[in-house]
Amino acid sequence: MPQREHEDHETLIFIINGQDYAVPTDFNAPLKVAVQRALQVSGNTGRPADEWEVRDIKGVLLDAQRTPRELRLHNRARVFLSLQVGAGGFGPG
Amino acid sequence: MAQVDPAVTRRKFENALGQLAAQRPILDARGIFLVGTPTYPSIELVFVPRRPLQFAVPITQSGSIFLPPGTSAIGTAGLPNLAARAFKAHFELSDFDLRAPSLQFRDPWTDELLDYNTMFRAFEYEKHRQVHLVLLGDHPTERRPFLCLRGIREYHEHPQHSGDDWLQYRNDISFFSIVMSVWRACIDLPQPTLIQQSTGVVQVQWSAEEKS
Repeated sequence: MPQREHEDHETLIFIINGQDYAVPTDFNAPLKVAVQRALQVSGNTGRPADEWEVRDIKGVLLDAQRTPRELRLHNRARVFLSLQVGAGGFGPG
Repeated sequence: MAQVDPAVTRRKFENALGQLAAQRPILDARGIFLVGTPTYPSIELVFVPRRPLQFAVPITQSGSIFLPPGTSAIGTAGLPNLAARAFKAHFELSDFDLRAPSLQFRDPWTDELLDYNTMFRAFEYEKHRQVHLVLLGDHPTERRPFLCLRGIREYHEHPQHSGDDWLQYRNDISFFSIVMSVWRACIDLPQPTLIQQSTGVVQVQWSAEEKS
């Protein structure tokens, strides 16, 4: 296998609703590509992908337009994929 | 009266517990700890804040620079040995997942409901809405503090949110995801700051980190 291909196809572990899904990921493609795949693998296809958000293990929101390499994610990094939180409450709206 | 076959809702309760067990290292790292042996329909988790308390002090001098008379500034310093109080999140999963989990905030020592006047504050931050308070003091039917957040029964069954039915989300929002949302709103974003008034009275001011 060419080294380049080996490097580009690594794995991210998506935690979706409390379950881990290992998703082969092109680390040079936008993260949203892997997000789409993770949602398919987990069966969460009822909503558009842009209603979901990805956070790293510390809870920091990740820009799905950027690549995992740009986001400094490492192979087999664990990320949370969850539906965006809607909230009521008070404050600027 | 139960609306869901007890065997079904108990299986879903066990699934929710299984999610917590599978992701326990993540819960531990966030200071979220399962209390006791959960018995249907209740799951109790203690949330332990670790963000250092801030202490605001009036400043009259900055290094060798004295502020003009009559002016004042406020500086803040972290108190690394102090953080906000821990709380117990008491979830009820009766009729889950036809209904969202119900959430009560309790004292971890006495098990009493927390008083809104003296408890922490919870926030959500979104780019469009900015910071907004999501812990409200008086639910119109439950008459107690509640978290106004999607995934929480008190939000979906609030008369003002009748258009945002839980059934739209129950396939996409698990119990584990709800616990993570509670952590973000109640632990990760809030920043308590002690402020000493000119009268000498010390108050706690709650603000939130503007973090997506």
